Amino acid sequence: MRTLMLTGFFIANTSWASEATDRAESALATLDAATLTHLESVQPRATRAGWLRIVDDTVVSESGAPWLIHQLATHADAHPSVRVAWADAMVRAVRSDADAFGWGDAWVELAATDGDSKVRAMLLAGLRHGDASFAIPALKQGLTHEDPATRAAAADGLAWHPQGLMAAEALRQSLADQDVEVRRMAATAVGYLGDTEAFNDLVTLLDDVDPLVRATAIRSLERVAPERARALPQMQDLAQDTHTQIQRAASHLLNSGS
Amino acid sequence: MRTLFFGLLSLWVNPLAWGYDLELEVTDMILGAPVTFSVSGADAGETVYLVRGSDDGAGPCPSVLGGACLDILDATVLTSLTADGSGSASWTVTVPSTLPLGMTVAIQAVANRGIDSLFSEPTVTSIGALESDALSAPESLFGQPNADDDDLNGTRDFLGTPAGDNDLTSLLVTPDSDGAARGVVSHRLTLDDDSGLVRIWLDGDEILGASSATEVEVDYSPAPIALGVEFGQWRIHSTLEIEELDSSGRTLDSVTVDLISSPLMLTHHLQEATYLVTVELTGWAGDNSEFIEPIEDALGDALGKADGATYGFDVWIQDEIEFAFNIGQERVQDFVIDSIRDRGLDPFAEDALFGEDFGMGVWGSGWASTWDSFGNFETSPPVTVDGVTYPFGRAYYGAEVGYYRPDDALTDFLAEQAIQAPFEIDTSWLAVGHVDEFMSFVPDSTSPKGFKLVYTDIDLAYEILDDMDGSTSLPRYRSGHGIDDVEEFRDDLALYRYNQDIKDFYLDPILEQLKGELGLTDDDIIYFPGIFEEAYGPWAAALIPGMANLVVANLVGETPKILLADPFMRSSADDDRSDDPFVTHVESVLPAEHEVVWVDDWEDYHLLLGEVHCGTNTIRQPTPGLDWWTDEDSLSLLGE
Repeated sequence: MRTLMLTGFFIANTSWASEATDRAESALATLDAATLTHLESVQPRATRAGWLRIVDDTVVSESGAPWLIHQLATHADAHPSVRVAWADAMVRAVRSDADAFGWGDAWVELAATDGDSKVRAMLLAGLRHGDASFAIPALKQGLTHEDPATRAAAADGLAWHPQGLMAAEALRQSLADQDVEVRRMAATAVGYLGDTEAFNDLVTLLDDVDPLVRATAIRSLERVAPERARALPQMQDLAQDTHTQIQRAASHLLNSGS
Repeated sequence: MRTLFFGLLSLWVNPLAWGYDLELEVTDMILGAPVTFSVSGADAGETVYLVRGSDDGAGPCPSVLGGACLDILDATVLTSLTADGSGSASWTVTVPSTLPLGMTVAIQAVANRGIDSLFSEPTVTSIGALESDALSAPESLFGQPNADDDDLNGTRDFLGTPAGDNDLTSLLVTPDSDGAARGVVSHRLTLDDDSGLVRIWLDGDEILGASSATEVEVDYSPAPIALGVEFGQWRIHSTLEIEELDSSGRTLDSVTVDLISSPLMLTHHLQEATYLVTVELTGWAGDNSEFIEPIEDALGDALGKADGATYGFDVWIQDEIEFAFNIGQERVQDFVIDSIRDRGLDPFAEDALFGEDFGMGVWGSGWASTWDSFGNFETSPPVTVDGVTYPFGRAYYGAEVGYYRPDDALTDFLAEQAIQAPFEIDTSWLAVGHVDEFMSFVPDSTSPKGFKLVYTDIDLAYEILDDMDGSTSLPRYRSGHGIDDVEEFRDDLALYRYNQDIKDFYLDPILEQLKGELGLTDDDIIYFPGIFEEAYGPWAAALIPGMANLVVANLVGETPKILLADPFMRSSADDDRSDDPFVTHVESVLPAEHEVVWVDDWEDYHLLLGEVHCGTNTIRQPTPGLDWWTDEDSLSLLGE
């Protein structure tokens, strides 16, 4: 049923967005005034890297989740860095519960439709903590988004998801993505997930134009099929590659079998 | 006659071998000093003339000599002498000071016997000046830039008129006390300075410098000339020449002094701490008392607290400022490099530090990246690498090598200082990207090198996790990272693989690089357990609070302390750390001389991607007895 709802939303998202907002508003209405005031007053703080993060225990909690969803859904004009902080807080608020305290659908929808690439990326990557029933379809869908940063985040989310192999075929297709970062994240993902069927696609990536993609492919080959990887004829040459990371990855592969 | 005869014989006989009948000896002819002419070979009581000319050669043939010719040009009679019973005569006279220095003088002695006159071989010499033993000055002077603000006008003193400034280095020139007798009428001081950033002061007046003059004359006095040398920048090498001049403007003697300004030197952890500073959040700004209290308990008055509300709640004071020294032969000047990071703490250096005896500088401009923060600039203790000793350690900083890095203005400047030979480390894998996130140095008096490198070890962390009871709850990690217990930590295969990639692609290669750049062996390293997580995209930050991001609080006269983040790898969130194996491991490997102070930095630092070192900064004092201007290794690095 949830999958049907999600599919319907992708076709006509405006009606769904208002449904999520309505649900969030309803949840907020159940909070006491003091909690609501507190939620409204919390300011994101600057991390050491400069981007914003919310560290308040009330915001980053089950009771804070609807507020964060509401903010993301209704405050598209807020400062982008603040919206990313809301997205980050939402992911952290709900991840301790696989069902995201019942907000999985909102999470998924925001991840697919938010107008900010960084917000989408934050929410998608965070789906690694979500129940497979809603997270995997959303992440698979994310792999086909028009924005490459969104696609890369989806691959990242799948890499970390315990059931990420459910999207193995989609990930293998992403190994041929036109975007370097997507290919690299997809290569990482198939390696983390141990997708042995990705072997040949990873071998193809050994000729990728980007050295980090090539290095990641070697690393993932070691993870999915180390003996077959060591036997590849080009691996000895790759161990002498001028790019340090390719050299290290290939050397590690070759030495791990000794 | 002789000349004619010489002419006939010149083809087959050395005319000198023909022999002169008189012997003439002449002592050195020095301006203002006696010269003695000694003649022998005459008859007793005979008159001998001393004749002076401009050079030897075919001279005149005066009639009084009956046709005999002199062998000097432009001849004039100096004096006549009467030979004693042995046929010798001498004459001592003072060389007039008015004669040109270096003038060629030819002298010949003649005993007039008409055509049979006796001659000496011409003596040709040049007039010199007597070297003074008394004009003296140091060969070299080593000062530091006048980069502080003693007059508190908001600008570096060198840019103003620092009468009475304490950052001038004294240069005492001692004249020859007998100079007047020698004809010295003045001293000329000439400054040869390509930098345009050296000023010479005398009696409160700038007498030499780019805006005044490069040359000045000072009337002669036997009293010492007390100059002040002021530098406007680091690593200047200029010269000051002091000349003795006579009334004709000729140089009678001179000395040259090398004027050398210090390099800027970053501080390292083996240098004793004098003061630490942090940012305090109170009231509406927040509350970081869990962080402040244990540090304040440990350090007392040595901890200064900047008001967080004043500085935009910016707690990352390690990143905004970097402490350093300017050390001259007479003075140590504390110095702070103000980052171009320019977040909430931007005014702090001007507000709290720059001023009397505390210099400040900014290198770089425009958009700042994370690599411009000063948690990304650190310095090793003194090391020897491939036979080259770095007595002040080596500086290092992080970068995405080949792509993004700190502002060139700063890295180029640090490289030009040479004495700490900076090098780059790949920190591209980190979300924040700072070298202090995974490594540090701690003093270890029992270690041959006097220190240990503290390095983050992922395998060690997993070993400790494997030994823990999987059901151990981790309350801090539940709320902060969504991890309930140790088993969940261990079972996260993606987390494990992510960390293995960090270890294999970054931590292990960086460690090998450090060994090479700093001459380290395995015995110089101690390992702290650590695990990273994706913090922003694929980039990493500490999942377990980064304990390597520590503070060495080795306050003068006190038990040295190490301040570091509590890892909270235990079921209790209180101060009982006895059942925390990460704590016990770190306490077991740290040098015993340190008191370990655990700090709860969870809420206000760790969750915001920083730890204890990031939230503090430390003023240190120079290594006692280590003077770069006398230390051979330092001078070698500086090319002096």
